[in-house]
Amino acid sequence: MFCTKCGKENDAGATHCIACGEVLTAPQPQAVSGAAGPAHVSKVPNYLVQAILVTIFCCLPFGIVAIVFAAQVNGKLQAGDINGAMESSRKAKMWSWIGFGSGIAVLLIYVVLVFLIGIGSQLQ
Amino acid sequence: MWFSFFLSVLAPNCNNRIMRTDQISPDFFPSVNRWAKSLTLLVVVCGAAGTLYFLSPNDSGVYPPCPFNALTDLHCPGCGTLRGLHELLHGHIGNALGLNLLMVLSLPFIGYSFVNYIVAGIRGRPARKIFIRSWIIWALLGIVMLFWILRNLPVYPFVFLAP
Repeated sequence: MFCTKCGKENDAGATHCIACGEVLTAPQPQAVSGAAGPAHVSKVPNYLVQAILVTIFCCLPFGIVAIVFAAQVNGKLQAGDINGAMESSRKAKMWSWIGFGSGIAVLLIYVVLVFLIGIGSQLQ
Repeated sequence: MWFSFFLSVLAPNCNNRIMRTDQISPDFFPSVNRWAKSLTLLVVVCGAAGTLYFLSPNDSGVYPPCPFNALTDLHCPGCGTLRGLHELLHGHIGNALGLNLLMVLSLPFIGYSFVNYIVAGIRGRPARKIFIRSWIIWALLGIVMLFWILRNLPVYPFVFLAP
């Protein structure tokens, strides 16, 4: 389990955090209908790292769109809007993939063009 | 610098229950074994680093140009990343800063999430999760947009931001 104070991961049976000494309490059993329960929240990734990587490496504006949705994910989580956060998470993921795919597509088009130009100059 | 700012903003947030509820390294292929994914990612990154080390983006011609730069002749926020990484791999931090300041400053963050993901994946543990407050991400977005504009200004202090 993770320490609630410093976030350090501890053994499941530990009573005190090995990093900061905080008393550890076992995770509460999940409420069946708790829509805002931590288990739901923990499944909402914001894809911020991917968005930054796409922005830096793919040279296309899609990474910036993904950063916007990453910010929305965390904003909605802070406000307790789990469904909204999941929707933004889905879009952040989608735009990260679009940016990544476009980057790969540009790379392939470039390789093909270089290849064709190479052939063209050979023929002349 | 940017990273320490980052951590200092994160630290007070750690008491919040929501702190561990967001993944810094979300999984893209949930059905695939995390161990295999971590190893694959490690191999790919090492291969890319090796390629970048030996083939300079300046003269080898194997890397594609930035599509934004090719279309508009302007610099995008990512322009200079490959050349900057090549310089970094050869230990020329100053040159790398001159090519893409934002890339160098974001490397600690990306490096942290990368190491975090790889180490946790290979040890078979869940990746450590950090919740980043949304205003920090909005600020990051602002920095990226500002960087994009400023590095295209042909005026004295800003010309250093261009690659």
